[in-house]
Amino acid sequence: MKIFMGPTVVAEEFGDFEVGVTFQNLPLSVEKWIVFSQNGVSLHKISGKRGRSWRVPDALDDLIFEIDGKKVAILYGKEMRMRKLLRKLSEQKVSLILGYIELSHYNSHQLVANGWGASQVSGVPTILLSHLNEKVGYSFFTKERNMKSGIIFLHELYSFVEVPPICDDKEVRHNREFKGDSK
Amino acid sequence: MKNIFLSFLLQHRMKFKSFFSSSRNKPRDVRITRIAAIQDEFHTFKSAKDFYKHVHEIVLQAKDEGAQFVCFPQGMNLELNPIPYKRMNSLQKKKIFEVYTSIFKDISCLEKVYIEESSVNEGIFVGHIWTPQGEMLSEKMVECDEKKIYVSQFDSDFDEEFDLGASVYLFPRFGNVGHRERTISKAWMLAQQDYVFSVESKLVGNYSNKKLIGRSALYAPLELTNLGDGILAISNSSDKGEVVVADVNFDDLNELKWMSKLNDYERVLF
Repeated sequence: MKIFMGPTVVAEEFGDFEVGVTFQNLPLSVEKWIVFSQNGVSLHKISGKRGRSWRVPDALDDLIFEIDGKKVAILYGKEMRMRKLLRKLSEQKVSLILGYIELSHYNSHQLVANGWGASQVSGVPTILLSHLNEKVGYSFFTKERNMKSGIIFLHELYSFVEVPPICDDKEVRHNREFKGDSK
Repeated sequence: MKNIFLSFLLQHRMKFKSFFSSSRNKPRDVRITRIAAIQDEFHTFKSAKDFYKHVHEIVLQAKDEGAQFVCFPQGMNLELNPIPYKRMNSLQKKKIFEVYTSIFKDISCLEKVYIEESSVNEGIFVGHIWTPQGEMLSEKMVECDEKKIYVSQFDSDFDEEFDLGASVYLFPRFGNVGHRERTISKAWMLAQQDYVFSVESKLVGNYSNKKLIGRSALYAPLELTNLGDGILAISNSSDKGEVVVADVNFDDLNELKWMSKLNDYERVLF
Protein backbone atom coordinates (compact mmCIF):
# COMPACT_ATOMS: atom_id res chain seq x y z
CA MET A 1 0.00 0.00 0.00
CA LYS A 2 1.51 3.32 -1.07
CA ILE A 3 0.59 6.01 1.40
CA PHE A 4 1.03 9.76 1.22
CA MET A 5 0.76 11.73 4.44
CA GLY A 6 0.57 15.48 4.63
CA PRO A 7 -1.48 18.44 3.38
CA THR A 8 -3.49 17.74 0.25
CA VAL A 9 -1.90 20.68 -1.49
CA VAL A 10 1.44 18.89 -1.34
CA ALA A 11 -0.16 15.62 -2.43
CA GLU A 12 -0.73 17.10 -5.87
CA GLU A 13 2.99 16.59 -6.46
CA PHE A 14 2.61 12.86 -5.84
CA GLY A 15 0.71 10.95 -8.46
CA ASP A 16 1.62 7.51 -7.31
CA PHE A 17 -0.12 6.77 -4.04
CA GLU A 18 -3.15 4.69 -3.17
CA VAL A 19 -4.20 6.22 0.12
CA GLY A 20 -3.69 9.71 1.51
CA VAL A 21 -3.56 10.59 5.18
CA THR A 22 -4.17 14.21 6.10
CA PHE A 23 -5.39 16.51 8.84
CA GLN A 24 -8.41 18.81 8.45
CA ASN A 25 -7.85 19.21 4.71
CA LEU A 26 -10.50 18.79 2.09
CA PRO A 27 -9.59 15.61 0.28
CA LEU A 28 -8.85 15.62 -3.39
CA SER A 29 -11.47 14.06 -5.57
CA VAL A 30 -9.59 11.08 -6.94
CA GLU A 31 -7.66 9.20 -4.27
CA LYS A 32 -8.79 7.48 -1.13
CA TRP A 33 -8.29 9.68 1.91
CA ILE A 34 -8.18 9.23 5.64
CA VAL A 35 -8.85 12.63 7.18
CA PHE A 36 -8.00 13.24 10.83
CA SER A 37 -9.32 16.02 13.02
CA GLN A 38 -9.35 16.85 16.71
CA ASN A 39 -12.72 15.13 16.98
CA GLY A 40 -12.09 11.95 15.06
CA VAL A 41 -11.29 10.49 11.68
CA SER A 42 -13.27 10.14 8.48
CA LEU A 43 -12.65 7.94 5.47
CA HIS A 44 -13.30 9.19 1.94
CA LYS A 45 -13.87 7.01 -1.12
CA ILE A 46 -13.27 3.96 1.06
CA SER A 47 -16.07 1.44 1.38
CA GLY A 48 -17.20 0.16 4.77
CA LYS A 49 -17.15 2.17 7.98
CA ARG A 50 -17.07 5.94 7.54
CA GLY A 51 -14.76 6.72 10.44
CA ARG A 52 -14.62 6.97 14.21
CA SER A 53 -14.87 9.71 16.79
CA TRP A 54 -12.35 10.00 19.59
CA ARG A 55 -14.24 8.18 22.30
CA VAL A 56 -13.86 4.80 23.96
CA PRO A 57 -14.99 2.24 21.37
CA ASP A 58 -17.70 -0.30 22.10
CA ALA A 59 -15.81 -3.14 20.46
CA LEU A 60 -12.41 -3.89 19.00
CA ASP A 61 -14.00 -3.95 15.58
CA ASP A 62 -14.75 -0.22 15.84
CA LEU A 63 -11.00 0.41 15.55
CA ILE A 64 -10.36 -1.74 12.49
CA PHE A 65 -11.01 -0.49 8.96
CA GLU A 66 -10.62 -2.39 5.73
CA ILE A 67 -8.81 -0.51 3.00
CA ASP A 68 -8.09 -2.28 -0.28
CA GLY A 69 -8.49 -5.63 1.46
CA LYS A 70 -6.01 -4.74 4.20
CA LYS A 71 -6.89 -4.21 7.83
CA VAL A 72 -5.88 -0.84 9.24
CA ALA A 73 -6.32 0.03 12.92
CA ILE A 74 -6.97 3.67 13.81
CA LEU A 75 -6.10 4.57 17.40
CA TYR A 76 -6.37 7.66 19.54
CA GLY A 77 -4.15 8.92 22.36
CA LYS A 78 -3.58 6.46 25.18
CA GLU A 79 -4.77 3.58 23.01
CA MET A 80 -1.33 3.71 21.38
CA ARG A 81 0.22 2.69 24.69
CA MET A 82 -2.20 -0.09 25.60
CA ARG A 83 -0.21 -3.27 25.23
CA LYS A 84 -3.13 -5.62 25.50
CA LEU A 85 -5.09 -3.73 22.86
CA LEU A 86 -2.09 -3.72 20.53
CA ARG A 87 -1.66 -7.47 20.91
CA LYS A 88 -5.33 -7.99 20.12
CA LEU A 89 -4.91 -5.96 16.95
CA SER A 90 -1.91 -8.07 16.03
CA GLU A 91 -4.03 -11.20 16.47
CA GLN A 92 -6.58 -9.63 14.12
CA LYS A 93 -3.79 -9.44 11.52
CA VAL A 94 -3.89 -5.73 10.95
CA SER A 95 -1.33 -4.53 8.38
CA LEU A 96 -0.93 -0.98 9.63
CA ILE A 97 -1.68 1.19 12.64
CA LEU A 98 -2.62 4.82 12.23
CA GLY A 99 -2.47 6.77 15.46
CA TYR A 100 -3.33 10.29 16.53
CA ILE A 101 -2.08 12.15 19.60
CA GLU A 102 -2.17 15.75 20.78
CA LEU A 103 1.00 17.37 22.08
CA SER A 104 1.30 20.38 24.38
CA HIS A 105 4.92 20.81 23.28
CA TYR A 106 7.28 18.94 20.98
CA ASN A 107 8.55 15.84 22.76
CA SER A 108 10.21 13.16 20.64
CA HIS A 109 9.99 10.73 23.57
CA GLN A 110 6.22 10.99 23.45
CA LEU A 111 6.24 10.16 19.75
CA VAL A 112 8.48 7.17 20.37
CA ALA A 113 6.50 5.96 23.41
CA ASN A 114 3.29 6.01 21.36
CA GLY A 115 4.29 5.17 17.79
CA TRP A 116 7.41 3.08 18.21
CA GLY A 117 5.96 1.29 21.22
CA ALA A 118 2.84 0.38 19.26
CA SER A 119 4.93 -1.00 16.44
CA GLN A 120 7.06 -3.13 18.77
CA VAL A 121 4.07 -4.74 20.47
CA SER A 122 1.91 -5.22 17.39
CA GLY A 123 4.76 -6.01 15.01
CA VAL A 124 3.25 -3.86 12.26
CA PRO A 125 4.26 -0.49 10.80
CA THR A 126 2.79 2.52 12.55
CA ILE A 127 2.05 6.01 11.26
CA LEU A 128 1.57 8.59 14.00
CA LEU A 129 -0.06 11.98 13.54
CA SER A 130 0.98 14.40 16.25
CA HIS A 131 -1.06 17.57 16.58
CA LEU A 132 0.83 20.56 17.99
CA ASN A 133 -0.15 24.23 17.79
CA GLU A 134 -2.64 23.72 14.95
CA LYS A 135 -0.04 21.88 12.89
CA VAL A 136 0.39 18.17 12.39
CA GLY A 137 3.59 16.18 12.13
CA TYR A 138 3.84 12.68 10.74
CA SER A 139 6.06 9.97 12.19
CA PHE A 140 6.68 6.47 10.95
CA PHE A 141 7.87 3.43 12.88
CA THR A 142 8.51 -0.23 12.24
CA LYS A 143 9.49 -3.11 14.49
CA GLU A 144 13.16 -2.92 15.40
CA ARG A 145 15.32 -5.52 13.74
CA ASN A 146 19.03 -6.35 13.92
CA MET A 147 20.01 -3.15 15.71
CA LYS A 148 17.88 -1.05 13.37
CA SER A 149 15.80 0.99 15.76
CA GLY A 150 12.59 1.08 13.75
CA ILE A 151 12.32 4.87 14.07
CA ILE A 152 12.10 5.87 10.41
CA PHE A 153 11.18 9.55 10.75
CA LEU A 154 9.71 11.87 13.36
CA HIS A 155 7.20 14.72 13.07
CA GLU A 156 7.66 15.46 9.37
CA LEU A 157 5.37 17.92 7.59
CA TYR A 158 4.71 15.41 4.83
CA SER A 159 6.09 12.12 3.63
CA PHE A 160 5.44 8.98 1.63
CA VAL A 161 5.74 5.33 2.63
CA GLU A 162 5.04 1.97 1.10
CA VAL A 163 3.72 -0.69 3.43
CA PRO A 164 3.60 -4.35 2.35
CA PRO A 165 0.19 -6.04 2.30
CA ILE A 166 0.90 -8.52 5.09
CA CYS A 167 2.20 -8.13 8.64
CA ASP A 168 5.83 -8.17 7.62
CA ASP A 169 7.70 -4.93 7.87
CA LYS A 170 10.87 -6.22 6.25
CA GLU A 171 9.98 -4.58 3.02
CA VAL A 172 8.64 -1.31 4.30
CA ARG A 173 9.99 1.41 2.08
CA HIS A 174 9.85 5.12 2.36
CA ASN A 175 11.18 7.76 0.14
CA ARG A 176 13.39 10.08 2.10
CA GLU A 177 13.50 12.53 -0.74
CA PHE A 178 9.86 13.30 -0.21
CA LYS A 179 9.55 14.65 3.27
CA GLY A 180 9.08 18.01 4.83
CA ASP A 181 10.84 18.91 8.02
CA SER A 182 8.34 20.60 10.29
CA LYS A 183 10.71 21.14 13.23
CA MET B 1 38.10 -25.38 50.34
CA LYS B 2 35.09 -26.98 51.93
CA ASN B 3 36.29 -25.82 55.36
CA ILE B 4 36.73 -22.26 54.16
CA PHE B 5 33.17 -22.13 52.94
CA LEU B 6 31.75 -23.75 56.02
CA SER B 7 33.59 -21.38 58.31
CA PHE B 8 32.38 -18.44 56.23
CA LEU B 9 28.84 -19.69 56.42
CA LEU B 10 29.02 -20.23 60.15
CA GLN B 11 30.67 -16.89 60.79
CA HIS B 12 28.02 -14.98 58.95
CA ARG B 13 25.16 -17.11 60.20
CA MET B 14 26.28 -16.26 63.73
CA LYS B 15 26.29 -12.56 62.93
CA PHE B 16 22.92 -12.97 61.36
CA LYS B 17 21.43 -14.72 64.37
CA SER B 18 22.80 -12.30 66.92
CA PHE B 19 21.67 -9.38 64.83
CA PHE B 20 18.17 -10.72 64.67
CA SER B 21 17.76 -11.92 68.21
CA SER B 22 16.56 -8.50 69.33
CA SER B 23 14.59 -7.33 66.33
CA ARG B 24 13.10 -10.36 64.69
CA ASN B 25 10.14 -10.60 67.02
CA LYS B 26 8.45 -7.75 65.24
CA PRO B 27 9.84 -7.14 61.78
CA ARG B 28 9.08 -3.68 60.46
CA ASP B 29 8.42 -2.90 56.84
CA VAL B 30 10.94 -0.63 55.22
CA ARG B 31 9.18 2.00 53.12
CA ILE B 32 10.34 2.10 49.51
CA THR B 33 10.79 5.65 48.24
CA ARG B 34 14.12 5.37 46.48
CA ILE B 35 15.50 2.54 44.36
CA ALA B 36 19.04 1.75 43.20
CA ALA B 37 19.88 0.04 39.92
CA ILE B 38 23.33 -1.47 40.14
CA GLN B 39 25.51 -1.46 37.07
CA ASP B 40 28.15 -3.99 38.00
CA GLU B 41 31.45 -4.30 36.18
CA PHE B 42 32.26 -7.95 36.05
CA HIS B 43 35.09 -9.13 38.32
CA THR B 44 36.01 -12.59 39.46
CA PHE B 45 36.39 -13.16 43.19
CA LYS B 46 38.37 -16.13 44.39
CA SER B 47 37.25 -15.76 47.98
CA ALA B 48 33.77 -15.43 49.43
CA LYS B 49 35.10 -12.79 51.81
CA ASP B 50 36.16 -10.55 48.94
CA PHE B 51 32.85 -11.05 47.14
CA TYR B 52 30.97 -10.22 50.34
CA LYS B 53 33.03 -7.03 50.65
CA HIS B 54 32.30 -6.10 47.02
CA VAL B 55 28.53 -6.58 47.37
CA HIS B 56 28.48 -4.90 50.77
CA GLU B 57 30.31 -1.82 49.44
CA ILE B 58 27.79 -1.49 46.62
CA VAL B 59 24.84 -1.82 48.98
CA LEU B 60 26.38 0.72 51.36
CA GLN B 61 26.84 3.19 48.52
CA ALA B 62 23.22 2.70 47.43
CA LYS B 63 22.06 3.09 51.00
CA ASP B 64 24.17 6.23 51.45
CA GLU B 65 22.34 7.65 48.45
CA GLY B 66 19.04 6.95 50.15
CA ALA B 67 17.96 3.71 48.46
CA GLN B 68 15.88 1.19 50.36
CA PHE B 69 15.69 -1.24 47.44
CA VAL B 70 18.84 -2.38 45.62
CA CYS B 71 18.66 -4.24 42.29
CA PHE B 72 21.65 -6.22 41.11
CA PRO B 73 22.10 -7.48 37.55
CA GLN B 74 21.69 -10.99 36.26
CA GLY B 75 24.52 -13.43 36.80
CA MET B 76 26.11 -11.99 39.93
CA ASN B 77 26.89 -15.55 41.06
CA LEU B 78 29.34 -15.88 38.18
CA GLU B 79 31.60 -13.44 39.99
CA LEU B 80 32.10 -15.80 42.92
CA ASN B 81 34.44 -18.21 41.25
CA PRO B 82 36.93 -19.79 43.65
CA ILE B 83 37.77 -22.50 41.14
CA PRO B 84 37.03 -22.63 37.41
CA TYR B 85 33.39 -23.54 36.90
CA LYS B 86 34.19 -26.43 34.56
CA ARG B 87 36.32 -28.07 37.23
CA MET B 88 33.69 -27.91 39.97
CA ASN B 89 31.77 -31.01 40.89
CA SER B 90 28.09 -30.75 41.72
CA LEU B 91 28.69 -30.67 45.48
CA GLN B 92 31.15 -27.79 45.14
CA LYS B 93 28.72 -25.90 42.94
CA LYS B 94 26.01 -26.37 45.53
CA LYS B 95 28.25 -25.19 48.37
CA ILE B 96 29.40 -22.13 46.50
CA PHE B 97 25.82 -21.28 45.64
CA GLU B 98 24.85 -21.55 49.30
CA VAL B 99 27.62 -19.16 50.24
CA TYR B 100 26.58 -16.78 47.47
CA THR B 101 22.97 -16.81 48.64
CA SER B 102 23.87 -16.29 52.28
CA ILE B 103 25.88 -13.19 51.37
CA PHE B 104 22.85 -11.36 49.98
CA LYS B 105 20.66 -12.56 52.81
CA ASP B 106 23.12 -11.35 55.44
CA ILE B 107 23.71 -7.98 53.82
CA SER B 108 19.99 -7.28 53.38
CA CYS B 109 19.46 -8.01 57.07
CA LEU B 110 22.51 -6.07 58.19
CA GLU B 111 21.72 -2.97 56.15
CA LYS B 112 17.93 -3.23 56.42
CA VAL B 113 17.30 -2.93 52.71
CA TYR B 114 15.55 -4.99 50.08
CA ILE B 115 17.99 -6.64 47.71
CA GLU B 116 17.15 -8.21 44.38
CA GLU B 117 19.74 -10.63 43.08
CA SER B 118 19.51 -12.81 40.04
CA SER B 119 21.72 -15.81 39.40
CA VAL B 120 22.31 -18.10 36.49
CA ASN B 121 22.85 -21.77 37.16
CA GLU B 122 23.18 -24.40 34.42
CA GLY B 123 21.61 -21.93 31.99
CA ILE B 124 18.62 -21.21 34.22
CA PHE B 125 18.02 -17.71 35.57
CA VAL B 126 16.60 -17.44 39.05
CA GLY B 127 15.75 -14.19 40.78
CA HIS B 128 15.23 -13.57 44.48
CA ILE B 129 14.33 -10.61 46.58
CA TRP B 130 15.73 -10.54 50.08
CA THR B 131 13.73 -8.52 52.56
CA PRO B 132 15.24 -6.49 55.40
CA GLN B 133 13.97 -9.27 57.67
CA GLY B 134 16.00 -11.91 55.82
CA GLU B 135 13.03 -13.47 54.10
CA MET B 136 13.61 -14.79 50.59
CA LEU B 137 10.90 -14.02 48.03
CA SER B 138 11.23 -16.19 44.95
CA GLU B 139 8.05 -15.67 42.99
CA LYS B 140 7.98 -13.70 39.77
CA MET B 141 5.53 -11.33 41.42
CA VAL B 142 6.31 -10.37 44.99
CA GLU B 143 5.02 -7.83 47.45
CA CYS B 144 7.37 -5.46 49.26
CA ASP B 145 6.09 -2.58 51.38
CA GLU B 146 2.63 -3.30 49.96
CA LYS B 147 3.93 -2.67 46.43
CA LYS B 148 3.67 -5.39 43.82
CA ILE B 149 7.00 -5.98 42.13
CA TYR B 150 7.49 -8.13 39.05
CA VAL B 151 10.89 -9.70 38.49
CA SER B 152 11.54 -10.39 34.81
CA GLN B 153 14.35 -12.66 33.64
CA PHE B 154 13.64 -12.34 29.92
CA ASP B 155 12.20 -9.55 27.76
CA SER B 156 9.91 -12.18 26.24
CA ASP B 157 8.12 -12.45 29.62
CA PHE B 158 6.04 -9.53 28.46
CA ASP B 159 4.97 -11.14 25.19
CA GLU B 160 2.50 -13.25 27.11
CA GLU B 161 1.76 -11.53 30.38
CA PHE B 162 -0.65 -8.63 30.71
CA ASP B 163 -2.42 -6.87 33.52
CA LEU B 164 0.28 -7.80 35.96
CA GLY B 165 -0.99 -5.21 38.39
CA ALA B 166 2.55 -4.42 39.48
CA SER B 167 3.93 -1.00 40.32
CA VAL B 168 7.55 -1.91 39.61
CA TYR B 169 9.15 -4.12 36.98
CA LEU B 170 12.70 -5.29 37.60
CA PHE B 171 14.97 -6.13 34.69
CA PRO B 172 18.19 -7.72 35.96
CA ARG B 173 20.14 -8.27 32.76
CA PHE B 174 23.47 -9.15 31.20
CA GLY B 175 24.89 -6.33 29.14
CA ASN B 176 24.73 -6.68 25.39
CA VAL B 177 27.61 -8.41 23.65
CA GLY B 178 29.26 -6.30 21.01
CA HIS B 179 29.97 -2.68 20.40
CA ARG B 180 26.48 -1.28 20.10
CA GLU B 181 23.86 -0.76 22.72
CA ARG B 182 20.21 -1.32 21.95
CA THR B 183 18.83 2.04 20.98
CA ILE B 184 15.69 1.92 23.10
CA SER B 185 15.30 -0.10 26.24
CA LYS B 186 12.39 -2.49 26.56
CA ALA B 187 12.24 -1.51 30.22
CA TRP B 188 11.64 2.10 29.14
CA MET B 189 8.93 1.06 26.71
CA LEU B 190 7.11 -1.03 29.31
CA ALA B 191 7.19 1.85 31.80
CA GLN B 192 5.25 3.86 29.20
CA GLN B 193 2.80 1.13 28.28
CA ASP B 194 2.05 -0.37 31.67
CA TYR B 195 2.37 2.78 33.81
CA VAL B 196 5.02 1.33 36.11
CA PHE B 197 8.45 2.19 37.41
CA SER B 198 10.98 -0.07 35.73
CA VAL B 199 14.48 -0.77 36.92
CA GLU B 200 17.14 -2.13 34.60
CA SER B 201 20.40 -3.37 36.12
CA LYS B 202 23.17 -4.43 33.78
CA LEU B 203 26.23 -6.62 34.15
CA VAL B 204 28.95 -4.96 32.08
CA GLY B 205 32.67 -5.27 31.43
CA ASN B 206 34.73 -8.20 30.26
CA TYR B 207 33.16 -11.58 30.81
CA SER B 208 34.39 -14.81 29.25
CA ASN B 209 36.35 -12.99 26.54
CA LYS B 210 33.33 -10.93 25.64
CA LYS B 211 32.73 -7.25 26.20
CA LEU B 212 29.38 -6.60 27.82
CA ILE B 213 27.90 -3.12 27.52
CA GLY B 214 24.66 -1.50 28.53
CA ARG B 215 23.12 1.20 30.66
CA SER B 216 21.43 0.66 33.96
CA ALA B 217 18.53 2.99 34.61
CA LEU B 218 15.30 3.73 36.39
CA TYR B 219 12.39 4.56 34.12
CA ALA B 220 8.90 5.94 34.72
CA PRO B 221 5.97 6.99 32.56
CA LEU B 222 6.81 10.19 30.64
CA GLU B 223 4.28 12.11 32.70
CA LEU B 224 6.22 11.46 35.92
CA THR B 225 9.64 12.62 34.76
CA ASN B 226 10.90 16.19 34.90
CA LEU B 227 12.09 16.27 31.29
CA GLY B 228 9.18 14.25 29.96
CA ASP B 229 11.61 11.64 28.67
CA GLY B 230 10.60 8.72 30.89
CA ILE B 231 14.03 8.57 32.51
CA LEU B 232 14.40 9.03 36.26
CA ALA B 233 18.11 8.22 36.29
CA ILE B 234 20.54 6.51 33.95
CA SER B 235 24.17 5.42 34.19
CA ASN B 236 26.83 7.69 32.74
CA SER B 237 28.89 4.93 31.18
CA SER B 238 28.01 1.72 29.41
CA ASP B 239 30.94 -0.39 30.59
CA LYS B 240 31.81 0.74 34.12
CA GLY B 241 30.33 -0.07 37.49
CA GLU B 242 27.88 2.54 38.82
CA VAL B 243 25.12 2.90 41.36
CA VAL B 244 22.12 4.63 39.77
CA VAL B 245 19.53 5.91 42.24
CA ALA B 246 16.20 7.72 41.90
CA ASP B 247 13.08 8.56 43.89
CA VAL B 248 9.91 6.64 43.13
CA ASN B 249 6.61 8.22 44.12
CA PHE B 250 3.93 5.56 44.18
CA ASP B 251 1.18 8.05 45.01
CA ASP B 252 1.92 9.94 41.79
CA LEU B 253 2.02 6.68 39.86
CA ASN B 254 -1.35 5.57 41.21
CA GLU B 255 -2.87 8.96 40.43
CA LEU B 256 -1.57 8.80 36.86
CA LYS B 257 -3.01 5.30 36.43
CA TRP B 258 -6.34 6.51 37.76
CA MET B 259 -6.31 9.56 35.48
CA SER B 260 -5.56 7.38 32.46
CA LYS B 261 -8.87 5.57 32.98
CA LEU B 262 -7.58 2.41 31.38
CA ASN B 263 -10.47 0.50 32.91
CA ASP B 264 -12.76 2.19 30.40
CA TYR B 265 -11.35 -0.16 27.78
CA GLU B 266 -12.12 -3.39 29.58
CA ARG B 267 -15.22 -4.00 27.47
CA VAL B 268 -13.09 -3.80 24.33
CA LEU B 269 -10.42 -6.11 25.63
CA PHE B 270 -12.42 -8.92 27.20
